[in-house]
Order: sequence, then C-alpha cells, then structure tokens
Amino acid sequence: MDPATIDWGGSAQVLWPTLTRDAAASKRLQRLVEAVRDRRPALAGELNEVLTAELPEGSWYACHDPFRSHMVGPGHRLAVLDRHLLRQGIVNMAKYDYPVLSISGDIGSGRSYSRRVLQHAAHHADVAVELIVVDAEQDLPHPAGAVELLRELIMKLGLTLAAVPASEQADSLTEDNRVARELVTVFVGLFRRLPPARRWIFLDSLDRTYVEPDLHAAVGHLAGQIEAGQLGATCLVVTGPTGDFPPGVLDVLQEETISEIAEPEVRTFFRDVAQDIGRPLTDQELEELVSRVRHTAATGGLPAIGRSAGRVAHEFFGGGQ
Amino acid sequence: MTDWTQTRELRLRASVLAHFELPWLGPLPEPAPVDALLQDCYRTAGADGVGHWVMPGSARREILLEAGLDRARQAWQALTTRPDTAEQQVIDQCLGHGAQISLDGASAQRTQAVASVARWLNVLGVPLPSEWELSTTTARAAILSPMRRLADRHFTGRAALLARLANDLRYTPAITLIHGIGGVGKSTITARHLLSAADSGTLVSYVTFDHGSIDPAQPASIVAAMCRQLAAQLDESASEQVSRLIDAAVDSQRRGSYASESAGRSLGYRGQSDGLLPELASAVGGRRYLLVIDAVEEAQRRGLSAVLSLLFFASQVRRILAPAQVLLLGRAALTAAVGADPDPPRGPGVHRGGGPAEQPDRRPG
Repeated sequence: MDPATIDWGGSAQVLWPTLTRDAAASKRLQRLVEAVRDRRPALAGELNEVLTAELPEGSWYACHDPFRSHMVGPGHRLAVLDRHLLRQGIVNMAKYDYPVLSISGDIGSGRSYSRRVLQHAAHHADVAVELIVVDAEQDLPHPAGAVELLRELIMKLGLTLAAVPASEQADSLTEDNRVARELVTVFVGLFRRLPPARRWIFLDSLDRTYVEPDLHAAVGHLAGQIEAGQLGATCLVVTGPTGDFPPGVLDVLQEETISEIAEPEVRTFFRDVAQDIGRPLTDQELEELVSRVRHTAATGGLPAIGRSAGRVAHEFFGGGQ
Repeated sequence: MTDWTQTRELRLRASVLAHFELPWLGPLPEPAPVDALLQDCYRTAGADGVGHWVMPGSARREILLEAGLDRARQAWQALTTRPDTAEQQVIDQCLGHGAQISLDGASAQRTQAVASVARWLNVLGVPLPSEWELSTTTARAAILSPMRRLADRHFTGRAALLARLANDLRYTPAITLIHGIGGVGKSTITARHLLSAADSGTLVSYVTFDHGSIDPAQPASIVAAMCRQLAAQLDESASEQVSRLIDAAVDSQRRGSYASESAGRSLGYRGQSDGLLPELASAVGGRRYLLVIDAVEEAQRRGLSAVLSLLFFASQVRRILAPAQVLLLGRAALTAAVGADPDPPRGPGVHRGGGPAEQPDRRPG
C-alpha cells in the first residue's frame, strides 16, 4: 500500500473507504483498524466489535456437506442456484485429485460467482484448502500478460518477487510464448519453496479482451505443470477459454459450462434449502417463494435472481435473520 | 430524491465511467452513502499511477439493464469529469453521442477497449460492432500484435532472405527450415515475413512448440491452433466451419493421447490429422496460406520419429492446403536432429537456410 497511489485531496468521508479498501487489498486492514483504535481510544469499543466480528453466530442454515451447501458466504447469505456439475467438479478436485477445472459460459452467466462455492468448500474444516484467487478484471493491469499474472500469483503466495521482473524490464525481442514458458518454470521453482499444503488456484475473467495471448499460454503451461505434479497438491480452476491446455491436461480436464438460471432452478433451490434444514415445504409455499423472487429480482440477470433468492430464503426460513 | 434513489443514480453514473473518483459523480448527499455506492467496486491503478475506483463489469451490466438507454444517457450527460482513457472514449462515442463504432483500421488498444465496453453496453442496444466482428478482430489482433512487437520497431535488413521467402510464398510455396542458434533472429525474420503476408491478404498461422497446448507428437494440437487463428481471418460461414474443426481436433487429441508415445508414433501422428486437413482446406477455399512452426528443436529433442512425423505433417499441409508455404524454425539443421542417420529426411520442399553467421541487423530499441 503506497501512499503515493492515494489522492489525499478528498474529505475524510471520501478518503476512508479508499484507504480501507487499499489496506484490505494489501492485507493491512487489521493493522490499520488497530492503529486507529490505538490513536482514538474513544472508538476502541466500536472498533473492537468490528475486529472480533466474523460470521454471525447461530445461522438458521446448516448443511453438513460443504460441497452441497446451497447458502454460502458470510452468514450464509449468498444463494447458490443449480451448479450441480460445478459442485461435482469441486468434489472431484478435492477427493479424486482431478487437477484442472475449467468453467465456461456466456457473459453474465455467473462464472465468477463460482468462486463463492469454491471458497465455501475450501474453507470448510474437512477440506482445508488454501484458495488463491486472481481475477484478471480486478487484480491485473490492463492489458494483462503472463508477467502480470505470475507476479500477482507470486505476491499472493508471499514469495519473493525479484525473480520475475516487471514487464517493462522484460526482453521484448524474445517470442512471447517462450517467455511465458520460462516464467512458469521460474514460478514452479519458487512455488516449491512453499511448505506443503493443499492449494487451489482460481484464475478468473480470463475471457476478457485485455487478457493477452501470452497470459493464456502461461495458464496452459501452469496447468501442464500442475497435471504433472510439479506443484504438489495444487489444483487449478479457470474461467474462460480452454484452448491453451496441453494435450496431457485435456485427458483429465473437467469442463463445466454454466448456463442461465431460470424459474425451475429457483424452485429446486428452495426445495433443496428446505431439505438441508429439515423443514417441510408445501407446494403453495414453494410457489409463493418463487413468485417473490420473480417480483423482487430487479432484472432478469443472474446476480439479481441470486440476491433475491438469498434474501427471500433468509426471510422465509430464518425469519429475516 | 430519497437516499436510495440517489445512491442508484450515483451507481448508474459510476457505471458509465471507465473509472472514477467519488467527487466525479456529482454532489454527494450528507451523509454520503459511500458503502452502498462502493459495495462491489474495486480499486485499480490508472496509467497515472494513482488508484481509482472501478465498477466491475457484472455490476455495470445489471445496473444498466435496469436503467435502460435513456436513463443511462442522462446519467452520462450529468457527468462533468470523465477519465481520458480508450474505454471512456468508446463510452462517450456510443452512449453519449450515439455514434456507430467502427473497427476499421482500429489499433489493438482501441479494439480491446471497444470489446470491453461492449460487454457492458450491449444490454442497452447502443450501436456497437457485432459479437462476431469483435471476436474475430480481437483474435486477429492477438495473432498479429506479438509479431508486430517482435518485428515492427526493431527490425531492419535481411532483405535478401525476406525477398526469397516472399517469392517462394508467391510462386513456389514450399517447406523451408530456417535454423540458427537461439537469439539469432529466426522468429523476428519470420514475424516480418508473416506480417507482410498478412497485409497482402494471405491467411497466416503462427504456432510454436513453446506453447503448452502444441505438442510435436500430437498433430491434432497443431491443427487446433491453426484453426483457432484461421477462424479469425475467414468470413463468417467459413469461420464457423473452422471453429467446428477445433472441437474435432481437440477430441482427436483426447482419443490419440499417449498413443503417439508408443512405438508406432508416426502412424499415430498420421491418424490424428487424417480428415481434419481436407476439411480445413474446404473452408479455406484455395486461398494462399502461410504456416509458421517455431521451436522445432522441441521435436528434434524428442528424436527422429518426431521430426519425421513433423515433416510428414508439414508436407500434408503443403499438399492439402495448397498453395501453402510452411516455415519451420529450429536451432539445428535437420542433419543435426537426426544425428548419425545415414539417410536424413529430405522432403521435396525442404530447403536449408539461415545460420549463426547470418545475424539480423537490429536498431537499438
């Protein structure tokens, strides 16, 4: 978190969200909040509440199988509709060592939302996987190439960045695919210094136009190294095109195509949630819930339907909890 | 205006800005609904090195879908500060002024910007290029941009070799091996040749064994890469035909995986591309074609049968996709690849050229 990247001219009201978001991005939010608390003892009570707050206790929703959970995220507030094949893909990664999962689908079909499902499964005590997420849209500069991806991964893994120079210092006369291959080799060498652990690397938004071909080439090489067991118990999940995987990866590649969500999926979601918590649901109640989603989803888009379904489930099953 | 509707209006304004600072959105109510406004926004560093807020694409789409074109345009008109970026220029043109966006002669940066903005604004029905036009233009840029980086600014000289390659391509397309030590400039010369060929309307493909998806022992992987690049250069119906071939080539790889590692490697090699190349030829329709296969040393490293298979494949391409020139780029001559083989492969179109002594001239970067 570099002070030079902040526009300090704004009011505190404008500045504070900027500072907290940048601090969170650089994993220093807790330290920032603690520093403010120490300087302003009058706020200590409130800030301590913030620091100790994690998941709300006693959520109405519980699902014993982390791979089948239909409500995920903090306080189980996020609905997961459909996605049976995605769940099976995650099970195959966690239990049967399938190394690479590719998620594709149309714009707005909810590929990125899959991260919530992965996150939920990865953080469950029975699974205990370290999840590393790189979103090309949000985490990488535009355009984004192999250098930017691997530097971001290296930073997120807490490895030393010096081994991969920034793209401005790269050799512009070496062919891009060769550079990508060499960079991945360097990355694998660095990665092997990490203590053994199960890790899932989730690379999101790879279908964006500002993602350069050499980044795709690097992802292909990375997948090949993971398939060959060079990164230990690491799996790779990508959203976007699958054209760059080595033939060896294609043999064991799991592909999930995400489709649009419609009313039948919403109906199944409420049935599943009711079943998860052991509450009987009449046909009339079910129709009422589906109808509420239909009327409260601001648009027909997936995010709106998902948010609405989550809210309706909380109101109905949890009494608004 | 209630807080809620005001927040929605501010979020709508944020969604028609490539990136923003809070004051750019207009006067904020007291207290400012900062949390609601920024709930799904993220921070990114701009070209000026300063961090800015960005509304993610998925949120933009939802906000714009709900607002509709007229309200989105009103929100754009209410803005007094807009960033100076390629994406914002596209937003200003098509949303603000209702101008048709054309990709004719657009730079790679402009094409990327149009494609990014199209992901958000296509829900409004503003005048944007079609999805097919965008995807093929972007894919063409993806083929040629790395070549331009290699050969446009730094390249000079090698006129005789380039003239010979151009002449071969035009009159006697053949299989040509260009070899030399690493860094001597094989890829750069070929990039220059490929750019000239593409500029004159020749269909081009550049595949390299440095790319993880392309395996010298799996000809279908080469065909898949060729098809991906050709799909961006053909008209829509031929492009669809070639796109279907990509799936067939990938299926063929899956069926043929590891078979090529068996003793019958060459046979496996032949079998994989059978049927794919004639189908590709029918889509290409007799147009002149240039295929560059780089990092041939990877095939040489695998041994004689891999080299023979590659040559066989190259000769198939030359014959079936005629008129087609195939350039193979490697570090060693084929005699070095086959070692003490008393009868090294000599395909009918194989030439030997280039070498460590022939250094390309380079201007300082």
